[in-house]
Amino acid sequence: MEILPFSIQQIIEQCAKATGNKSFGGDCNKRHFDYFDKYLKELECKTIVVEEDYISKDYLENYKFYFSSCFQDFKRKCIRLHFFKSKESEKSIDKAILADEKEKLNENYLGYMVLRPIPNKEFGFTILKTYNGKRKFFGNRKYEVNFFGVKLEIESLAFQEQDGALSACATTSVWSVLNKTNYLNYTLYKTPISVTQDADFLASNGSRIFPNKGLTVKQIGNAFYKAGLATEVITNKESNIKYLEANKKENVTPEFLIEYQKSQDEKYLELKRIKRLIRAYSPLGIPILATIQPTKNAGLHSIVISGYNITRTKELKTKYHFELIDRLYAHDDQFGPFTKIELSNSKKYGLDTIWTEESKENNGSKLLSFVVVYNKKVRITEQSIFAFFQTLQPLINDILNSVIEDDFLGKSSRNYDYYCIRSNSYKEEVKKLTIPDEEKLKILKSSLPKYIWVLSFYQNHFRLFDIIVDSTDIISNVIVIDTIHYHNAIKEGFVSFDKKESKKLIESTKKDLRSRKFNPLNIDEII
Amino acid sequence: MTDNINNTKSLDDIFVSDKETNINVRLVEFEQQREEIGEEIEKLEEEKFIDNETLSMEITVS
Repeated sequence: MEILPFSIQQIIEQCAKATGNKSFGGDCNKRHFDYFDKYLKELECKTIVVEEDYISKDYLENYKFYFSSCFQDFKRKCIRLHFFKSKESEKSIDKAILADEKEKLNENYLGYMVLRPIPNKEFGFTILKTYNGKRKFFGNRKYEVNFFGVKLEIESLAFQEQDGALSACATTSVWSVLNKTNYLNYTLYKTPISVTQDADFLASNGSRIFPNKGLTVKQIGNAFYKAGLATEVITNKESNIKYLEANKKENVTPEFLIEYQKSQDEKYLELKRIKRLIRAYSPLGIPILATIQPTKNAGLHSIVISGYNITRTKELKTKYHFELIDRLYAHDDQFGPFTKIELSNSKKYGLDTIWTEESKENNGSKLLSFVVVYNKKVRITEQSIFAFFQTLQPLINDILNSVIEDDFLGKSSRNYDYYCIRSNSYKEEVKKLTIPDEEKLKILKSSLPKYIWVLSFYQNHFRLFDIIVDSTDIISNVIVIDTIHYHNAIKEGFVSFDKKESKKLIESTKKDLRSRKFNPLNIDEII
Repeated sequence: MTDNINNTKSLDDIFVSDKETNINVRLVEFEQQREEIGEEIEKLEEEKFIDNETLSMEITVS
């Protein structure tokens, strides 16, 4: 064990030590050093505790499969660096270890970083605390850390850099997602090599898969499927493809090529859709994998979104709560964990990643696709539920408006939120709500499917009414299983709703549901 | 999602009893919303497309 004052130079020197080079053989200018320097300074890191001869399961598997058979000698063991925000000495650490001062150590503990003996690809299993504040890190989990016999705990999501042999960015992204699903008991623990092996036998062009240069989205899907999970792949909309279909090969002219390039530029997920998907699926607690094109003409890159930030306002002026998301946080294996993604309509493609934040151009990075991962029992998708929810809104709004003061019924004051969640997590939410006991008990005591969609109606910041939908059924049979009235006055509004007088409203809503392939009988369940 | 924003009013303040609004006024409001939503849902249909070209590209940045 060695105790060092924090500086990025110390980390660079430890990297050199880990790889066995007396003078650092790697690239000191690599992006990670700069990122970790800023990140750990923001966390007010003061001390590094060096744990030598650390055995990392992830690296050991890779070593066994690949590095042990290289002509060059690769070491089998790693170095682990622990970070503390307190100033420590060997004496103070020894004392804390002997006295098992778990609480004191935990208070100052910022996480650890494993340094692999692979030149230029040193950053192995890394878990670091997130910044304080009101950011929501839905993808994080609890990790237990054995610090020289003292059990510490930290909330984070594991990060590692690709090793250039057994994993590229796609593999490390899948690995980070599986780190969370393993914690949720959905999957077994997977090392990077097992992720790549699960993805395919061969690379997409027929070449061998190791050394690994990357995966396709389908191969990413394979890796999740083999782990026992379901995936939903979401890409850009079709406008550009319609254009391409209309043009045959014989029409390839310089003008066509310019138009084609333009259509390629339009291939990205729109900002509204990015926000929708993050809000809808984040309560499931599983990080969301995204494919991006970091800069113009760059190859595709994979990142893992595990958190977001929302704009906080006194007056809610957005129609949907997802519109409040203004920033995402993602693991980017080319920089580090929790890198910032600014969402902004002023950017050409709606966002700015760490790759483009210092660029003077207005392009930003492009988000091309999402791979949303969930338990196989989540079957009704966000797109279906969004259409279903919208179809119900005019009728439900009419009932809610009948009990609300006109002064509170400003045009923009009705707003909505919807998300997918484990029913047990929803019950936990309901327990904390200030709603009539009768309503609370109705939900807590009811038998619900494992996963549900919750569709909420709000007036300004006040939550009024929830519709609970079974997410485990088939799409053509979206079923409302319950409702929550947040106040007795709302319940009375539903009870006194005159179905005879409002027959036209009810019939029109049923007709809309039928035409959009939803079950119209849901209306009878709600009103 | 907006849980930690302080409000000066409580939920009790926003309700009114015996409110009556003419069914014709309600119908106008209802149809207006229905029309707007119909357009939104049409746009959702375009999203069902899957771009195979992007999906088959290797994710390789290093």
